[in-house]
Amino acid sequence: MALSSNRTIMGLLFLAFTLSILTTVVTLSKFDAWTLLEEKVTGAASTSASGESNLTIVASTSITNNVGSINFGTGYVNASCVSCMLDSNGSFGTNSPGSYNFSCCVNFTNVTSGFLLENTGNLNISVNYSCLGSCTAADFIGAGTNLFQFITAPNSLESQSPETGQIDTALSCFQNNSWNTTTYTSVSTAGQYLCGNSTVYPLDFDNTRDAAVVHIRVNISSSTIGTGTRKNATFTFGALSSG
Amino acid sequence: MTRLNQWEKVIWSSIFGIVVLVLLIPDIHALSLTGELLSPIIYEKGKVIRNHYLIEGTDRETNVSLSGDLLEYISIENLNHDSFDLVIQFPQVYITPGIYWFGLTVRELPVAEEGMSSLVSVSRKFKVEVYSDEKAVDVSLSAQDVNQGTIVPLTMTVTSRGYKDINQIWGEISILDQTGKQIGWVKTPTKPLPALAAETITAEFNTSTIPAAEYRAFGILHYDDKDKKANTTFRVGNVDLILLNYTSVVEPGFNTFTMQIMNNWGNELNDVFGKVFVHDAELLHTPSIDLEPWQKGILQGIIKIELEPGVYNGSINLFFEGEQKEVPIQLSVLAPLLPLVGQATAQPSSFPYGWVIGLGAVIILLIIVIIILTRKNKSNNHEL
Repeated sequence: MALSSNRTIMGLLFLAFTLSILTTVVTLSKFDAWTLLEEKVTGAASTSASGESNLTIVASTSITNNVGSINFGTGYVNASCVSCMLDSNGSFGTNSPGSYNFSCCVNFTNVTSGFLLENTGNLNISVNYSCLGSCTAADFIGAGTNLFQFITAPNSLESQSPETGQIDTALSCFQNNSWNTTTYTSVSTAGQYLCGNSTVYPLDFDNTRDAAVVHIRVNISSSTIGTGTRKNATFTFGALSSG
Repeated sequence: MTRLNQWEKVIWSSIFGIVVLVLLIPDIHALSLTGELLSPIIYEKGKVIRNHYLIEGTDRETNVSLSGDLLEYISIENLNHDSFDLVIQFPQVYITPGIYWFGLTVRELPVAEEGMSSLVSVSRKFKVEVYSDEKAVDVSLSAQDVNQGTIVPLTMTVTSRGYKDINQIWGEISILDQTGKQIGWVKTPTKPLPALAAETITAEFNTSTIPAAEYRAFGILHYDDKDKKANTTFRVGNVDLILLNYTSVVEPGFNTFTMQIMNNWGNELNDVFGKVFVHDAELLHTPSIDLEPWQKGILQGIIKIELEPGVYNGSINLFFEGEQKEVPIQLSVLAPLLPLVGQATAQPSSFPYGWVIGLGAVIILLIIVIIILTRKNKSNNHEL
């Protein structure tokens, strides 16, 4: 019996060890650590015989979206409610006609993280978005008084994780929250610049002020007739820098 | 049902934690475009630029595209999944002068996904400056602040903005006083200026015959048969301290009195201080400071006003480097403000209540921990 128990312990320990290794590998691959080791560090000594070393600092235009998808799941609006509002900032229910009523959104998932965009290069950038697929409230949700909107906020205010460097401690975009969409704005196919424009690149690469959260909000009216077909909207977040 | 022993509980908890961690790994999208900066690119006929770029951070398929102006001269070569070359090959002819822009974009390709998903793209924007086929220049004029009696160098910086060599450039510079009257004129030497190159030409002006003040230099650059204008200002200084501003309105009682001063000399001024007099009574003697060449500074102190409301003539005496300078001033004394009836003035307590409360909480917690540990120890001894 004792032998059997020890074998079980050994087996479980081996399983735990294997899972740990797998987790490490998967995590590092997600964060592009191998590439970092292989290519990004270009200051490695080129030859040990002469003692020479080369250091090449190259310019990198880079953007990371630390939250790649938002999934409110499948559900329906309680017939006794006017609408159901879902927001990736964790707001869940309806604000119409009065206070939030969580029972208005039936079976939907309460999402608490928006798209977390971060300048992970070494150049200042401007940030824009465009949308592919069902990019209007009518397309994404259906006909009626529905909303499909987004809002942008510096991550120093949202404190969402994980950021690649550190959680921002200062306002991003011109270092003063000059994000162009600080009120809820309807999603469109063409999209728009979120920070800066085609000639001004105000999102700093400094780790203390390089990130923002794009929250998505959908409002589903109770009169909306569900089609049963899942719609998709693919946001492309673009980083632009001087060449 | 068999109960799990302590070891098994720990192991199963660890495995559960690891599985949860794996499931919670965030869905991260990243894309980097790494390569040397080229912008602004100066157009030259027949010029070829090849720049290598790395695409990093993504495991998705990507698309590389160009947009904007001059695309007939720009191409993508040696395209792999993680690198490519940008090749710019300008033609052997001049094109219309101006500023042109083109863009380079690497974009993740979409895959079939349901719901709300995201992709990332990165772009570089390049500026191409095409200059004139004629002779053209940019010119700027600069001059240093100097002490009276020394030479002020007046420098013209000339940058060719054309594809033709200029045989000779030279400048003539007029010195104007604050009324606009010309008080001097100098000429620079002559130099050639190759196409797209930059050159400086300098003339010297002797300030021994002009008083300390601010002056304007107005220059005309001549290049072959054309000319272009530029101007600047400079200061001729002497051992002097200039009073720029001071506190002119005070109330009865104690006031902070401030004087803003400037060193009007191209050397350091040490031991600078000021005194304020009204009716020959000294109201203030400020601490002394040192000033770097041309530096502005603040002299400040507390004055007690025991005068009736009104306007008083007085003076500020400035002391520097053993010199003294008296500047007349006017001081307005306002009527005292009447206190508001029933106004309560709550002074913030300086006693550190927060610190004491925090320390008390920590001590109580430590006592609780000690009690628990003592009881546990007694219980274990009792069982033994």
